[in-house]
Amino acid sequence: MSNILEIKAVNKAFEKFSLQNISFSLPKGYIMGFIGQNGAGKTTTIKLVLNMLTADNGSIKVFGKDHLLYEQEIKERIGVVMDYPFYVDEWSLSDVERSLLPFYAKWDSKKYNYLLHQFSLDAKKKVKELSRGMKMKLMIAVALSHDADLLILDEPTSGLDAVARNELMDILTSYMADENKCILFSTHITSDLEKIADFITFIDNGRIIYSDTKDDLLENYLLIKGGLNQLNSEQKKQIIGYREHSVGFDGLVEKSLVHSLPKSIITEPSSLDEIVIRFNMGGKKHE
Amino acid sequence: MNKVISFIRLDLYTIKPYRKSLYFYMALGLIMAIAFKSLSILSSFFMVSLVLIMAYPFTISEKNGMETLYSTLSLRRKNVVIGRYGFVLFIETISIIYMSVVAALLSTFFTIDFSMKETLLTLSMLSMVFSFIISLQYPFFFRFGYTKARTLANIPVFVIVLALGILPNLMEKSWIFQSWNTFSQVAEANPILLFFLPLASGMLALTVSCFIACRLYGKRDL
Repeated sequence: MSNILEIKAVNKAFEKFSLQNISFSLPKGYIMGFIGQNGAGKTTTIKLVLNMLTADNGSIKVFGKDHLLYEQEIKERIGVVMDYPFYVDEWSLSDVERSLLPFYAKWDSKKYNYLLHQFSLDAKKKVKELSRGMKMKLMIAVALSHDADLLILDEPTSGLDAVARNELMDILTSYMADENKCILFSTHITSDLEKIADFITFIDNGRIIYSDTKDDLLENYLLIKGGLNQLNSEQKKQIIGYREHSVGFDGLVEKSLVHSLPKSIITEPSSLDEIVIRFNMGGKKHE
Repeated sequence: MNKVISFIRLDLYTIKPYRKSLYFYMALGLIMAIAFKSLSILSSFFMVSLVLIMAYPFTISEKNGMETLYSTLSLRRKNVVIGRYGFVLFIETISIIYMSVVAALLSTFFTIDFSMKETLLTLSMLSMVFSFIISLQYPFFFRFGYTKARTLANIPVFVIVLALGILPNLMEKSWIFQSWNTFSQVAEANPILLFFLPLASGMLALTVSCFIACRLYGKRDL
């Protein structure tokens, strides 16, 4: 299985935040959800891949090539969708095409106009006249018009209503019909990923907590519930996002640790949302 | 080279929606030149307008988050910098041609005293001043972004204006002034030299500035 994106031991320090030893890889033909709360380091990691930031150390390879040495070649094959459009707001959608097509050898004008039509976007409209969802579709139209092999999506669904989010999922699903394509999908709205992601990379406070298949992640963590005083202090330390309420407690636990807890405790499958929330609940484990 | 040309095109498209300001400045310059029957007013006015317009790619790109766009395009950072300086040269060249043609037309239709030699020499000098100002401002814009660097980048402009105003008086008796006089005499005898020397000085300043800006922008976290 060849990797489209490979990040190894990357560090980047800022005054008040740092990415520490970031490593993960995205195999060809798959969608990776990149999750974590706001400020966890998702956008910083993406900026490093795009050479908007320079890593302090470590290596980043895209399509098997160093992302700095082969920057131009790599970017011909990447499509980027951010949570805001980065085109001049006074441009018409035709201006967007005229401005960008010289940068891509594989730009396909027919495809661009076809996608605008598919997404019900009028080429004469100005960028500033588009709704939030339409702007997101415009960025996707640009990304797909130069036949990008890797789509990098950074919070594309934030601020979108359920219908627009569902449309995006449909677009991404049809994009992935080609097995040579892949997507890095960064979001804090994890419900979007439950449907389409194959892999999950979970980042928290600048560190990778998990990076592997979504199914493994969901299998590895269980939600547990029980009555007050059912756990001793040592057992409580094993619970992620331990929370006590009037009649009992709940939390998240690694599946391998369940056997060490009382049998009377209720276990349930967890969701991505629940995993992120529990990890973010004031520290990792209850102490 | 293709990427640089593509970036110059992108800059031209970037300022396209704001071209009305350019037309406004051009019209105002023309009106003033006709009203005062002076071609040098037209040239000076237009060059000052150009300095203002040359900040447009930075202001517009900052307003619309276009540095992210540049980072997604198949470009190296140095292509962005060289392309932006290429945009300056392109606009400057077009302006000199435009100004020469307009000056000739004005002299024909509005009986304004006109000498092609004098007009070209004036444009050449103004072009040099323009290039110096851009050379001093652009590295700041590339290093800190337009909003942060705006005040800092305007300081060199004031210094140049101030220097042009007071230095001739201060140095009236110094060796620099005498050397300048000698140089002027030589140059007057050779108008071609007088035309090309300021242009070459401007080009040199832009080249050095571009080199510095490449280094500064290359290191900047976007």
